[in-house]
Amino acid sequence: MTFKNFAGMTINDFMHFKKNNVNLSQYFTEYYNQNTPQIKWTNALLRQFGYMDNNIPITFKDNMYIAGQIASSGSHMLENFKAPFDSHMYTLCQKHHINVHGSGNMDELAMGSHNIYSYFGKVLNPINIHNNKKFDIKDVGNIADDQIITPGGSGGGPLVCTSMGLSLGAFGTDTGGSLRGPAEWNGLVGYKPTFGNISRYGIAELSSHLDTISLAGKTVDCVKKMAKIFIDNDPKDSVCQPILHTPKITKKIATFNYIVKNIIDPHSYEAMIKAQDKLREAGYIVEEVKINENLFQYMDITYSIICYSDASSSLGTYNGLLYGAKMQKEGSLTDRIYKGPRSEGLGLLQAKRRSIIGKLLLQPEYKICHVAAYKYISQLYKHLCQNVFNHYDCLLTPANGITPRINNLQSSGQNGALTSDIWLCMSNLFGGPAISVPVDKNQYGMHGVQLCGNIGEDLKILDIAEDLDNIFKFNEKFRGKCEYINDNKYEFIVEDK
Amino acid sequence: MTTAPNNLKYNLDDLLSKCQFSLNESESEWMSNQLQEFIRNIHSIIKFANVEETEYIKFWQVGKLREDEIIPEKLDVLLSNTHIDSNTNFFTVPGTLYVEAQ
Repeated sequence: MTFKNFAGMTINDFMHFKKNNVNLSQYFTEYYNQNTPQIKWTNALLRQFGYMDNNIPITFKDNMYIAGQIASSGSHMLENFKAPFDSHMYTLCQKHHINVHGSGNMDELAMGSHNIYSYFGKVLNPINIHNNKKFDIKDVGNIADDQIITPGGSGGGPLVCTSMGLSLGAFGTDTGGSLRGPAEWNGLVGYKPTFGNISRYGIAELSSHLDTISLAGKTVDCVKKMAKIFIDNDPKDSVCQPILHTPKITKKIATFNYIVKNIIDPHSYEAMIKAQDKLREAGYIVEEVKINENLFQYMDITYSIICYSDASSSLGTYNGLLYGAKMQKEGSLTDRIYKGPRSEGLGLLQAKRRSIIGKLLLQPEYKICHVAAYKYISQLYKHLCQNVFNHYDCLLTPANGITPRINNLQSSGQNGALTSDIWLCMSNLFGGPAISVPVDKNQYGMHGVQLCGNIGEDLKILDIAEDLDNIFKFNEKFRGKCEYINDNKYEFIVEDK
Repeated sequence: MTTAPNNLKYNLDDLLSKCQFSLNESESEWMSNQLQEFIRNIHSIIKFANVEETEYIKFWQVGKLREDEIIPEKLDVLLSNTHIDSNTNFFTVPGTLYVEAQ
């Protein structure tokens, strides 16, 4: 199993695939051969999912552990770090005979939203290839940053693999939309379960309060079937206590278009309205609800307070002795083990920035920020429960709310100003389930909507999302296919109807 | 020592020392700007949440209670969803902050 080559999915890889009509089997290496019995079982599972009898496997995000395999988390610091044990997710994959054929490139230590901060290179959205009228494929590597359509992040790599048909699905951490965001921009379904429903044992954590293992696939049906496998109690993760209520669907969905309208990308808004209209045609009652608008203004900064504080603690564990980055040969022991490797191994724009801001927030005089965040989330919880989930099945929001361009990178909310990138982190702060479903595409990329549910009501939002997916049948219109020919031979086909 | 609004202060050298990495001059300047921008932003949430000193103290006192002294009904609605980690004695609330117990 080669991680960096396959998992990288960088611009250069895409060029290589496209130019040479690469037989992708070279990227699967000997790992397949070692697991022959599993392939047969996987076929059975795939048939259960309604797929063809081919060996399309699962891709992990590169921060999930498989014993003895490199889990680099897109970081120079962890470039040579081999996972010492299996993650619970991988254990379940083995138990249910699901092939994990590699790990996908990601933003450094899961910090980023466009997958441009990986030490191993930027990840490219496949739509760049489809839009090759605009870019000559041989020039892909020279495209200016502001012209690149990104796959979203931080889990861009595994989602691109799935989008292009190399995987049945993708698993990874979702701290603030890291799987749902790229799922939207790759035309996939991304599902974040209720916090604590899936074990996080065996991941390189970013934020212990927000990290949730999430699933992505081509259809809601597929994701739903995977969810039933992976929502499982695990004593090794102390917060893993699955809550799954039996759904009683009233077919009532809440929206707040009046807040959303002026702050998201017009194409995303159009897609959201289209989804609402189609749901109404399908018998759903979609209504606008009044929510305290102020709650959205401080979501970004609240998310940052919690995430950066946690990130600073998580990053504190990385050193040259345990994690493989080169140690300095000179200086004090601390310098050799910590300062040197960390200075060289951590990226400035995300890892170092979050580490320092997090360390600042952990100072005694800044703990008032944590109290503010706590109170804010308390209010968010109350407002959503009282105003929405007591009367409606779920809340329909935009997913990313912006087009997948690097120049759309948003900084955190400026003095309480509303930004368009708050929708994904809302359910992480709230702790409830959320699912992004693709509904539209244009030259700027894919557009989807997100359904957010109350804590423990995963099955309810999955059922509603399935209805939505069955209406749009998005992946019938646009998908990459990886056809199985014979022994470990694959033919790579991209269809754009 | 740089003083930020509302007397929230930071010392980049001290933070760098705690974070155990170094920055060159231009990186330090950039990081300083990032910190100042972040501090400006957090005042908005502190003001919105209307945090008072008494609440601040009360909040951290919760952390000093033993498990058997905590009455979930009397805590906020969030704590009704609290999971108690028997290994670390951290109360972990879905999607929110933890309160450290003794």
